[in-house]
Amino acid sequence: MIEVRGLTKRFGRTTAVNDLSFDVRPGRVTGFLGPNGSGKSTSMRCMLALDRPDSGTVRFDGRAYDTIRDPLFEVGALLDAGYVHPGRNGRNHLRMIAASNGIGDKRVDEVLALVGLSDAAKRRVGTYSLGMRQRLGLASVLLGDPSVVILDEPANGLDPEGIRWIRDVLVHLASQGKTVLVSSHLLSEMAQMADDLVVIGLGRLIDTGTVADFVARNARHWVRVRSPHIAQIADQLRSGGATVTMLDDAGTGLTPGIDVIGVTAIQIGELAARSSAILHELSPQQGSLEDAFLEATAGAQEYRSTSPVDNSPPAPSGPAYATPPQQPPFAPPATNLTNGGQP
Amino acid sequence: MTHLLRSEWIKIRTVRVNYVLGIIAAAFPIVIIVLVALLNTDADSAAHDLPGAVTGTMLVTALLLGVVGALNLTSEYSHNTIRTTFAAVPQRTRVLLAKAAVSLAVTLVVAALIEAVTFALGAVILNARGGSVSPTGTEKAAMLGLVVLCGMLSLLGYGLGLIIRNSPATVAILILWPLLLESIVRAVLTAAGVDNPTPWLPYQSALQMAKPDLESGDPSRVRAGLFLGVIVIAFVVTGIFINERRDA
Repeated sequence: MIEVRGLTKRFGRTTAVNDLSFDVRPGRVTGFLGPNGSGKSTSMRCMLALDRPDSGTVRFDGRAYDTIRDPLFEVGALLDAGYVHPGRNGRNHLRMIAASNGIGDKRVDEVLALVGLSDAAKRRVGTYSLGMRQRLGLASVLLGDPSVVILDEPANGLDPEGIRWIRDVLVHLASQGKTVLVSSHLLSEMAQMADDLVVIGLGRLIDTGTVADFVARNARHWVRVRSPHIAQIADQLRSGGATVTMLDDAGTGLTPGIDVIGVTAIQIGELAARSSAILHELSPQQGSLEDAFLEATAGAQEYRSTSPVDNSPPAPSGPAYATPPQQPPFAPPATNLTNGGQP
Repeated sequence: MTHLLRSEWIKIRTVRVNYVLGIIAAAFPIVIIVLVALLNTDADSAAHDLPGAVTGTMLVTALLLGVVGALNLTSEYSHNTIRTTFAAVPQRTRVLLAKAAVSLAVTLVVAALIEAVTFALGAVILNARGGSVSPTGTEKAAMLGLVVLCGMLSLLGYGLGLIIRNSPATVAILILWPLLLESIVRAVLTAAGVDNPTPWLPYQSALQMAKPDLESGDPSRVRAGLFLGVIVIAFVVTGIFINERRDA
């Protein structure tokens, strides 16, 4: 269990982390998300007593990090795979870390095998690829088989197999009851492995909770409808106050469709039933974690890019609509769509 | 503490630059003394001067070992491995003291070995050429003083590194201190009317430790050693104090 309370860190006039509080629970993978410059890495350094916070506390199972003797047995951390001496070989890099906590060379060889670096153990780290350094960093995390694991961008530089491997490792660690805090910009990966999220922006907490709740709160929701009578259904929905967008499916062979915001799939289904309209698709849609993240952090981006193209997600992958009214004034008319709109 | 000492020992042993600097530090006095012993036409005189020649040429060794002491710490900052180190052991003072202890111990052993080998080679050659090498008590004291001086310069480099945390700047200051800084201070003190400024210059004063024949007005070996020793300890303590509070 990690408890962060009121963590604040300033660099001169810049407040990198501002009164940050959150918990990281055991047995779960917690994603630590935030735009560039949001204070994730600074927070992690403060948690590990590498940076001295201006105020606030961080507790690992009730204890401050700098009071833990031989912390490798309790907290394993990888903040940057580049924190290595390029002239030292991988095995010696691990040996020097292990020795500081009384961990023997046998365990060093075990974790090297675990991360698949046994064959490269005697090579200088300067010759390692970024992915190999990430594996070496993860090996150092595993040295003491700690109950808490903290990783900053562990998938950075890994190939698809490596990304999948690290995901499996983290999920496995969490399944063993360990506390796992991991930051990443790979939101699709995070969506697959994280149970909980801590989202920060400009050093402040934006949201925390389960991934499902975060997406439900922040991503947009809409309903996709396909029907041979789509024009009539669209008219009915518009007249009921819903926001309707026609799907551009020309030439795809698909039944014409619409995306609808402001009504539920149940309401649309009932409308179609009353109108005797055939539906080929009636599916509630929800934005991705990426959509939710962008929405949640829209006002907390320190560095914003301008895009040469319209960034609105296309209809097939996500909604490009205005936020729907909280209570849509939808009152489905009793219209039979199969007989020319006659009741 | 044993674990930390072992960790620091692994760090020193597993970086190539330490071996390179160690070889250079050993090669310089050995080559010079061997050449002097072989080429000096007066073997008896050369045998008599051997201890002074050894301690004199090993001043370069002392400076190089000071550089090793500095790099032992500053390379951790330049490669950011200090974060790995402090994450593994967050009690920073313990880490820094262990590092200083290992650095000092390695320097003393290496300096003693280099001096012993250098002296032995010179003695064997000069004795074979008809000289008679038999160091006096003060010469032995000077040779011991040189080893202590090497240790002090290593700790001086370490202390400077703790405060500066940058390899080039630390090494530059370590080298320029005796070559430039103390020369300037000496000139200023002389201009101010001080007859013998040496006792006021930590490095110049400390050289008396490795000098077989002390002149009148020179500080004693013990006083010279204490002067530099106090300054070295002040740097190390200040450096540890600063590093306890700074971000890693």
